[in-house]
Amino acid sequence: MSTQFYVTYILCITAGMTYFYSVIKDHYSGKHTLQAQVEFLQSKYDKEKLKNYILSSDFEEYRQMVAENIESPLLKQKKSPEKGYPLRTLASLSVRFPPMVVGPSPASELMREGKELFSYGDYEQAKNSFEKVVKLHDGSVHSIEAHFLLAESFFQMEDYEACIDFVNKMVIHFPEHELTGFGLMRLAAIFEIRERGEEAAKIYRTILKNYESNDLKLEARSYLSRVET
Amino acid sequence: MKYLRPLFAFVFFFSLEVRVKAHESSLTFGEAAPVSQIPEDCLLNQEYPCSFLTADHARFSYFLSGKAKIVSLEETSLSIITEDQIKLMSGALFIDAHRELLIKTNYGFAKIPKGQAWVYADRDRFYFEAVNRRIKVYGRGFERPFILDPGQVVWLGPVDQTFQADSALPTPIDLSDFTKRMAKINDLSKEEFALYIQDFARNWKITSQKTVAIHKNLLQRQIASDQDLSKKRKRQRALQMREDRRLRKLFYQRNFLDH
Repeated sequence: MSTQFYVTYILCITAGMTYFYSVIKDHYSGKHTLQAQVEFLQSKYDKEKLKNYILSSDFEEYRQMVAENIESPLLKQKKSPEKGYPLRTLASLSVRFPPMVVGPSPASELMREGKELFSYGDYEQAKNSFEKVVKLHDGSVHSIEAHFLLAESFFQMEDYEACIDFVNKMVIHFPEHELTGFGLMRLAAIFEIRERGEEAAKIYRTILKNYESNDLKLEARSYLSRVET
Repeated sequence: MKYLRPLFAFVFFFSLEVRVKAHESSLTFGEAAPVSQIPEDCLLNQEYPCSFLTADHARFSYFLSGKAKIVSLEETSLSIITEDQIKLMSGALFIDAHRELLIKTNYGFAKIPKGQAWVYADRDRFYFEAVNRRIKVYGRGFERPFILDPGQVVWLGPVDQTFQADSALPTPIDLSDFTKRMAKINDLSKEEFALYIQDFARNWKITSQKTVAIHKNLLQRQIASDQDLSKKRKRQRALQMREDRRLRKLFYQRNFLDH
């Protein structure tokens, strides 16, 4: 009798502890919050799914209605169905839209604007346009030209530090491009202005060695001879 | 052994309690509640039009204002437009109508008088099955409906180049598939269900024989018309050849040529 009572007592204690443990565990594990979140998301997903079914069905019904009612105008046009064209589809009956005209890209527009201002000598305004191309359309085909004209604008405005910065950027990003060579010519010219002839001569020699453009080489050679004399 | 018995009883009742709780939690609306309704709770409030989506692998049944009972077994989306009009968007639906009911789909609709029917979507087609009464199925652009005898099925597809819904001739229902579906939705006892299926199979046999006769007749007519067409073509070809020969002869005679 006492053993039976003892076993029952132990079982009750074990069950109680298990229940208590599970309640505490559930309370602190955040399981209920997550379950509520899952239920909320699931109901949201089901609602969206139903909305999607309704929209698809309405759209399909509309398509079928159009397909059904297309009959009369077509029959007026041709009384008997054409031989050899059994698979006439709705696509062949639909209105053809004119092809979409692709306008100039924003980068091209900015470049055109900048070049126009540059040619009028308005370097300040031209600089703004080129800066926009460099910042906003860095991956466009106009990027190299924009860098060069920006460096050139700074050179014309005698802001030499900014000009050097942009020539450096060109050397880093487009080292082999012809325009980088012309940018280096401007760098050499800045060194000349600052009476650092030797460094200018070094740059001219680098241009002669690394660039293949004849115009560039010719110009670099003449400037080099001037610096050396 | 003496102590094992209370231990077993304890564990048994403990686990039984847990199982009952888990089962009760899924019972919220008949067998299974629809997972989503637009507007919210429109089924409970009997507020129409009401669109809803039922759960997959769960039986859902609904009594439509005492006029019909609708049952679905898989994920089904439908709209109850009015008390006697339902639009099926996807899935499968069993209808047990007590008054005439209109079941709409994108490719046509069916008029179900007092009786049972299945309507289900499969890929690009909607299938209509008449179970114990004749039903009328109207395809888009059709002037006359298909009249389905009990045990027949017909499908409707999208409108094609003939400006009518694509369709085929009614055929007998796939009996084994039908039995499986009916077994899942009926509330009959085993014996009653067996009698129900036997009764259905008897009707189905008669319908199948009728359908076969119709198909056979149609096929024979098609073969006859094909043979007639082929004879006509042969006759035309022979006439053409005779005419060609006559002209060639005339040409040689006029130009004094030997042939």
